[in-house]
Amino acid sequence: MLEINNLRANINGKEILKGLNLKIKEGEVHAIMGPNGSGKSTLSSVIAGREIFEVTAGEIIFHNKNILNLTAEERANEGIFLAFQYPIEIPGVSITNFMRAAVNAKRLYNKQEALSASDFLKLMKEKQKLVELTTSLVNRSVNEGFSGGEKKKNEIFQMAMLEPSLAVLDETDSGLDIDALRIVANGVNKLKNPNNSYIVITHYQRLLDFIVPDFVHVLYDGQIVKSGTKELALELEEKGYDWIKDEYHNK
Amino acid sequence: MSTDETENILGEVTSGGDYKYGFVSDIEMDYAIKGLTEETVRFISAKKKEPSFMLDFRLKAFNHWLTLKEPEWAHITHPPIDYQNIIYYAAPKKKPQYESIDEVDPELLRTFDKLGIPLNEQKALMGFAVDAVIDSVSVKTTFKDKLGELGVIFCSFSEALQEHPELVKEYVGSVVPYTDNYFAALNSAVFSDGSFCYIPKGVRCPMELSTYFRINAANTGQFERTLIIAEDNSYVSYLEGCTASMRDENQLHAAIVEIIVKENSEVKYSTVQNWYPGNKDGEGGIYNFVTKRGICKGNNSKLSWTQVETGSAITWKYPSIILMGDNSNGEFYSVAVTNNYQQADTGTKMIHIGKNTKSLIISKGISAGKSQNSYRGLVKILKTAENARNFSQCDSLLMGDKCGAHTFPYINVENNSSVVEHEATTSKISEDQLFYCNQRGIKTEDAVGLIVNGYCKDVLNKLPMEFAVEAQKLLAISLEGSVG
Amino acid sequence: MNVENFIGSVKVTDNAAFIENTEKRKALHESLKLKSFPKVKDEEWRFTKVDSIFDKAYMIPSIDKDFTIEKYINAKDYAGVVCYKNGFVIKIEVTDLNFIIEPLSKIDNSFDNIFKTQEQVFVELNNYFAVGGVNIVAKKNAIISKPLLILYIIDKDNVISSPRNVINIEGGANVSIEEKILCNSKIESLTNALSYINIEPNATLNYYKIQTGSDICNLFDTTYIKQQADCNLNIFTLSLKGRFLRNNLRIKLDGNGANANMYGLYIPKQNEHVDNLTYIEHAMPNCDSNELYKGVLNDSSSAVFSGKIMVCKDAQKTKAFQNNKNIVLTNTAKINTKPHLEIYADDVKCSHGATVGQLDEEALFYLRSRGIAKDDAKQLLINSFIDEVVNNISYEPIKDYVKESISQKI
Repeated sequence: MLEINNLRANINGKEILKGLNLKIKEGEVHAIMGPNGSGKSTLSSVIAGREIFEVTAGEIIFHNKNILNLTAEERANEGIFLAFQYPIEIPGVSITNFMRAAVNAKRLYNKQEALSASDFLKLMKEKQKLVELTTSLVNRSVNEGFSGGEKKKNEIFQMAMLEPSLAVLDETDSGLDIDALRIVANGVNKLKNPNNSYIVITHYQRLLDFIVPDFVHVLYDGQIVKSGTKELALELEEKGYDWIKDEYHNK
Repeated sequence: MSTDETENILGEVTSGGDYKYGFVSDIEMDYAIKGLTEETVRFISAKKKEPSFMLDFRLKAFNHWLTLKEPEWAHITHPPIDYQNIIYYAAPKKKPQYESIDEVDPELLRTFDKLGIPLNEQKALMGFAVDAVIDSVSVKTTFKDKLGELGVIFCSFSEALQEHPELVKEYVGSVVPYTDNYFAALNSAVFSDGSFCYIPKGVRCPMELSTYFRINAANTGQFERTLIIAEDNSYVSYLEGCTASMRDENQLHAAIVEIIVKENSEVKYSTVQNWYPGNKDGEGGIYNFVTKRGICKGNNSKLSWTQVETGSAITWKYPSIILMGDNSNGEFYSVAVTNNYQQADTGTKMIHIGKNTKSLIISKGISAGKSQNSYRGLVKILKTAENARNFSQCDSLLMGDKCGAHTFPYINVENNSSVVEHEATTSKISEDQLFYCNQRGIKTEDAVGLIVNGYCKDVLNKLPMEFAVEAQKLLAISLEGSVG
Repeated sequence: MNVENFIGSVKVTDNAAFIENTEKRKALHESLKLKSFPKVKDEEWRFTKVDSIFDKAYMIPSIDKDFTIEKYINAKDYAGVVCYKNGFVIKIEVTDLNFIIEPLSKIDNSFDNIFKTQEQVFVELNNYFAVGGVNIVAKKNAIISKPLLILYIIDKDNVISSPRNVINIEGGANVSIEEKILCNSKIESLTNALSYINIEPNATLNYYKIQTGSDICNLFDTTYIKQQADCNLNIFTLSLKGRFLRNNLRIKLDGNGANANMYGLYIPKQNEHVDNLTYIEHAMPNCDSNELYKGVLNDSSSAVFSGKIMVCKDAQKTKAFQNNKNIVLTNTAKINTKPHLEIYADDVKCSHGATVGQLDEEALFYLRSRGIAKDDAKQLLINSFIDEVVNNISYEPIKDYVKESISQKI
């Protein structure tokens, strides 16, 4: 469903992604690991269509369509979801209103009618339960005054609402205690099905105990330098990244 | 209100991007001669068959006005106004008193229909009592009988002058004297009509009272006057809406609102001001120079101003509260949006005189296009106002790099038992917020609407439901095309 | 009183003493004739009346060089000393040669155009009456830890003094300047000081204004500062004593990445009046400004704070913060505060705040419940309120001096 070929991207003239390749099929979970500054968050931003990054070469094929010319909201409506590492606060805008705008935008995009208020509220209730999000949170403004854990749970809740075919979880585990981590991971696992895929970006193998990846990739210097199965993550946890860097530089 | 009716109102305010209240109605009008002299003042007074005290008041105001100069301190600029080139009185020619809706000039009815103002009885069942003022004259007041049973007087100012002259005489000019400022003097000399509202002791007015103002005729100014009196232990919620025809020239609107709140009473005054703002190049539009002031006269009284200002080429307006009674309470909630070449200089004054008086100011300014948006406010705590409290929050949101947002608070404290706090921030909608919304599939334009409404929530929440919905839509319309 | 009459009323002992030549003074006189003293109608003078100050007869004495510096300060604490006495420069002493200080021989007006202001009349009066002034240069890349002292001494009755400092901090320099006014408590006087400061790229200036006048001294202090790219300014205006103090501090951030921190403290008692006007203009992008002014008002004193942040059209990425906090101790003190923002750029983060209140009753009670006497507890709370300003003074001897002066007064 997703094919990234020779992707190169700059920010302020500095090249961050330097010819990245990645292929993901329906139903797969891919973990992307790597040291700080290797380009992990840039990759998620570029897939989602953030304009501050300039794509200089390559292509991103999603459902047989090159999406590089689509705007961020078009990509979202095509089924790409980004769970942000640092979800931004939007004061005064309740999660309910926010999600209603998003869900209906997607329905409009797919030429469906907007949900009625009662159907929408029903959907909210159902998904809230799925990701164990309390009602009091849903009535608050988007991310305003949320703890780190609440923000991440809110991201997963939004994912549940929007039912993307590709979800990119950008360091969703950072700043979470073990209980919050379990809730977030459970949410993801419940939403997993043979038709949707995940890119899980993380520093730590810990999250991968809960969300078990089919493949693990190491991103370094803007490229994927090593790929393997979940055992690779354990190896990285144990040995760090230096051996990968050495291998890469000796090439 | 049923869903259908809500949707009708919504449809009315959402059906297009441009100013949709800008049609011109073809109504036969009665005009005063152009220009302002003592004769004009006498003409207006005679036309309305006013008692002599009113004419005296007008003439004193006129003579005082002659000695004044237009104020220059506000953060606005406009070409000089030629006060001799304005028609000070324009009224629909047909006799503006009606026994039933069938007698109303059908063209006029259509005008109000287009405006979505429920003048006919059926719509009036929505629970609003409405006084509609077109150009200079109040044309229709609904629900009068029902209110009459409670002793509530809600009628046009002219009618009040005929039927309750003693009340008018006692209170007119008592909160905003004609000496107050240039535009107050002008209004006091030439005001043509307006609304009058009297809530007797112990009465909780069961329905929202509302007045709609409209400027239709060309070259006319509108100078209406509203007077609200809430006797002891009473309550009223009052709404004011404004629209104007689209005209290439600027038109002057210089109104006065006076409110007297007595012991244990509460008045809520809400405005959605949507006068014609001029076109995208800054041509035309209303100069909205308004003096609004209320006095919390009795102990434990409360007055709140809520305003959503999206219209007018220039807004100059500071709804103020004199907190005289002990434990009295004043609130000011404001959203002011400026786009294109609009200029707004608006805010409030809270004058604390009584003990334990409290005031709260929440002001949200949004500037877009090439507009200038200023908050100007005064919090004054006199020595007698022991234990007074004030909190002010004045935020500005900037959209685009050609507009300006300014904050000019004045704080003046003369005792040592009071606490005054003022906070203000200025920021823009961040790229991160927009991207977050985009990533959830929401278009930038919709995202801006969402974020702006969120930013204004504290104020919009204070409006009666129907007004709040209308205000939200107005915000979106006013800001269309400002980001992107 | 009008300006012309005021000029006529000043008794001049020595007509040859003025910095400016006769011709220039004649022109100034013509210009001043057309001016008037500010009135409460003027926006920047709404809460400060100046009439009574100019109704008195002042004089300019002849130069008197009799002076013992040890009486006032410990010279070893400083990198150099400039001493004005009754408006005359009577001593220039430099111990660190990275400072170059020369007496002013003529008046340079190049700064006047940067700020068009309502205090123009004070600028011109200073030019007209100045009998002493200095030109100070801190050399390029000079790093000097001890401050330079500029001392104003007033010891004659009814003196009008018009000191004038032109200061240039060259690129990369890092220096401190302390300005102190001292006057004999029985002497009525008027000081109308003017300082022009230019800070070149990448330089840092710490500037301390320590205003310890007398019960009957009046001070107008006007300071114009131009900041070039990437330079830093920390300026303290500490109004510790003086019957009438008016500070006009105007800063223009005129280079990319310039940074200004403005701190102020005023603690008026009895009938003292302190008026601080600050104006900071963000003319270029990426500049930061941060302003904190605090006041504690006692007895029948009064204070005014008028702060304005102006963010010009091209000053994107501006960060500007302003805060004014006041404690009013008595029912007869008066405070007026006007924290104003004027913003014409959109990519900015600005905020301002102002509070007027009293000592926190709960905190007071908490301290007393721990056995601290009420007055001591009050003192403690006031000190902690003031410390937020004073603790930003990086040079210890000045910090100690200021703390000592404050505790004496309160």
